Amino acid sequence: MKIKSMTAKGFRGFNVERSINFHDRLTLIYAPNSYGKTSISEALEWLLYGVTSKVEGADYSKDEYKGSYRNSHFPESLTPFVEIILADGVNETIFRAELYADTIQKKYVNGAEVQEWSLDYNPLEIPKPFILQHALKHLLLVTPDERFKGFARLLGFEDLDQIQRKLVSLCTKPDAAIPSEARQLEKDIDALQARLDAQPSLGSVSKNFKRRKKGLSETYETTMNECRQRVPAGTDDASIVPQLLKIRDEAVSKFFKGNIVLNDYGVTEKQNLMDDENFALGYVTDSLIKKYSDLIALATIQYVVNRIKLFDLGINLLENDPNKCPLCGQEVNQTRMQHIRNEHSNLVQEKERNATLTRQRDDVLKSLMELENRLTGYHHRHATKAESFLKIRDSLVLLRKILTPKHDKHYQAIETALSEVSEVKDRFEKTYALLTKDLDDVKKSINESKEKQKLIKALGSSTPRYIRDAKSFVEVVSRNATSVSEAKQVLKYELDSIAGTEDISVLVDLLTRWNAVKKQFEIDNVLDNLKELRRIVDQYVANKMLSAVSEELTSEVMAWYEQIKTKGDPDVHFGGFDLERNSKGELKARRVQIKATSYGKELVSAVSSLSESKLNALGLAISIAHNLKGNSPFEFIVIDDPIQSLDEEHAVQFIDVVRQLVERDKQVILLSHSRQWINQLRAGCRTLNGWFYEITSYTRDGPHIVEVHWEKRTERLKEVDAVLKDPNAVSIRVQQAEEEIRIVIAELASELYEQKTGTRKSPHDINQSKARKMLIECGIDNQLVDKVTQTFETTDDAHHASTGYTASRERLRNYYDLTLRLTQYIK
Amino acid sequence: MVDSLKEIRRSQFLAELLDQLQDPVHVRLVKAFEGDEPVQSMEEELKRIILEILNYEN
Repeated sequence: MKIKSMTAKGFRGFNVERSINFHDRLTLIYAPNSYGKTSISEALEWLLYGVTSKVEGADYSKDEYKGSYRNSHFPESLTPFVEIILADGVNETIFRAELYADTIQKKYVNGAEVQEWSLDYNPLEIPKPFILQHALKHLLLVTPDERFKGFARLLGFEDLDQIQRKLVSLCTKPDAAIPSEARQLEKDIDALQARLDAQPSLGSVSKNFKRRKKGLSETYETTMNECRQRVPAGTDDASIVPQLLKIRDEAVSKFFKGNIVLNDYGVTEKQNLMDDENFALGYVTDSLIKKYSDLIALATIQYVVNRIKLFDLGINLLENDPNKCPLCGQEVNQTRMQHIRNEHSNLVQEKERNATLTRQRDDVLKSLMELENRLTGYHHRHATKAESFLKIRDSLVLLRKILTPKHDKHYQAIETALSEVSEVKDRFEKTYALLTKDLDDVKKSINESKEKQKLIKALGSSTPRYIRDAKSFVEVVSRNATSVSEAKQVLKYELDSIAGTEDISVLVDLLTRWNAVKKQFEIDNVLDNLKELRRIVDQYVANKMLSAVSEELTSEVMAWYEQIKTKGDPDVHFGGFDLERNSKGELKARRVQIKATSYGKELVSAVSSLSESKLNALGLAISIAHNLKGNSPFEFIVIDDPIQSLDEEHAVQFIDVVRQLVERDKQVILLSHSRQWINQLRAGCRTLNGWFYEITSYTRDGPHIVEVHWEKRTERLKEVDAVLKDPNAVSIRVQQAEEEIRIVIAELASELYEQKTGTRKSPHDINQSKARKMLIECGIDNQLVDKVTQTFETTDDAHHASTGYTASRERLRNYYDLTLRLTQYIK
Repeated sequence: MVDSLKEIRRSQFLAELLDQLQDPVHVRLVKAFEGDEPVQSMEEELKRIILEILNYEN
């Protein structure tokens, strides 16, 4: 597939719409720097790949390129786009990409939206048809790491680069993966090893311990042997630790008795405490206060019962003589009788209501008991927490003597913890006493039917106060637990030192913590083995890269490099690719080595040996060689400013490279900032008859692209004249001269038409019928028009002769004369 | 398409690398190389491996 044309609007340097047609063999575009030349290659690259190499290679500075695809002057309401026509020799297809929200690309093929370009190739395996000057620098004059990345990008190994980097990151910096439990374990085992190292009598154990996992069984054996020497003969293995502890305790207790323990609350413990707290705090609610207040009514129940009894008696007595009161004998009329019955009925109902309240009272009492039970348990857990620790207060003087001044910090920690813990404990004991009193008062009031609202409200206040103080206790214990634990450890070591039981203490710790030791060694082993993983990854990546650069690329690069080097060059040249090796002969993963030779001698590195110009030439050779590799569907190649760092001689050599690419049927689109070189290139490729554009200015609208004749008309006619005058001119020269005539006639038709109508039509688009129509419109004699336009029937601008074509000097002479006649119409 | 091809290519590279590994810990780590944050994913796997050692009873 070749590119026929490109149209861009609102993209990069293009503000208003601009179009450019491409010759199917060679298109040259000249522009001074900053005239928008690179916007052309970027537009093509972005359309095909959705990203430009410049943005893709930005790595850490991608933010700087944010929004850079959109032309900064392009109206917000419009959508930037790039459109190209690709031709495969049979069909032409329009590919259009529109830009949305900085980077989103919508794709259209012949006007229909598509998700992906249907180009039937793997973009990761097929090289991009672009040779970009700014990308070449990533291959050579950069740090080794950047060079590796440059080659990875060139060869489609970006993922390999990523895999290597990320795995190495894990292998060299695994810290984030180490959980806090493992860190604590490591700290503990390191401390154990330090104590072991400090015991000359345990040298054999220490030596094996240092071998970590490899010396695990030997460490255990030597530890047990040392233990056996320190316990009475005949002690079985299972009794060794208790025996050693007994020996140690006996020795140490001569200097200090007591135990400093202030354990922090565990997770489960804290959760249980929180459950009790939530229960207690949710207990004295408005609902409970109401239930309790309702019970006040129960105080009247006895009175009601007595009255019911009286009424029962009265009603029974009245059964005998309903009209007379059985007590005073006065007359009882109907109204009074009804009143007595109503009163009795009301009292019965009230008694039933009181029965409900009685059940309610039982419920309240039951739940108060539950509260009491939970608070008792809750308080007990706190109260016993520091019980043993607080007893140390009696031994403070002795502790000071043992720990200070050497371990003043730890002594102070104990003192502070004692002070803080006892203070907060005293406080919460007091509030607990108040709480239990309030609870008792509420219970008592219910039992005695002397409920008072103020009692239940007092309980409602003392409960949260107690919980608050209990929580403060938890906080103080937690805050001091670590420092007390450290102080305890230091005290233990100090006592061992005084009592001469350090070795026993270390041996006991080794055996009691043997499982932890094994775990630590296992973790050490996993972390140590990450070095081996890194080595394997490095070797894998290095071999992949070496295979790609040395086996697949070297000879091709050599061949292209030979094209660019000049005859006068010193014999210091590119000598192939390799990867650096370490002292063991293993490949270094990210060290692509570019070898050089100097007068037959191999040099360490081409980068330090070759001139910048040669390195640039080498970069071009690498890119070209890679680009021609594989079955790319793209028959074109865009070369952006290839001679930026080439000296004049090497730049001239590169012209041959361009010719060869064209001769290999590559459609070359070449952009350069050097007018002189472009002119040399046109001269060197004169017979290719490509198209030439010049960007004459750059304004807010974008680049002003002007098409320039590949060669002056007079020069072409001079060449034809020379062929006619050369009796030895071979037929291919005659054929080429005939082609020159065709181009001149197309140009003349274009000029005459513009002269007549003011409208310019590209000579590249003019075929025989168009030329005939235009020339007749210009008023040229019909007979002359018919004759000159016959030239289109012989050859095309690619020197492809028509079937049955035979070069003819006579026909060429005839065309030449007719062309001269046509030139006379130009004013 | 490019993203899915990249994924396939990455998987191919990782499969080739896995073929060269024998240490089961290494295999687990390389198999954890996935998603947009492979380092984080591998770190989590390494953390799991260490916790398994810590929590192993024998």
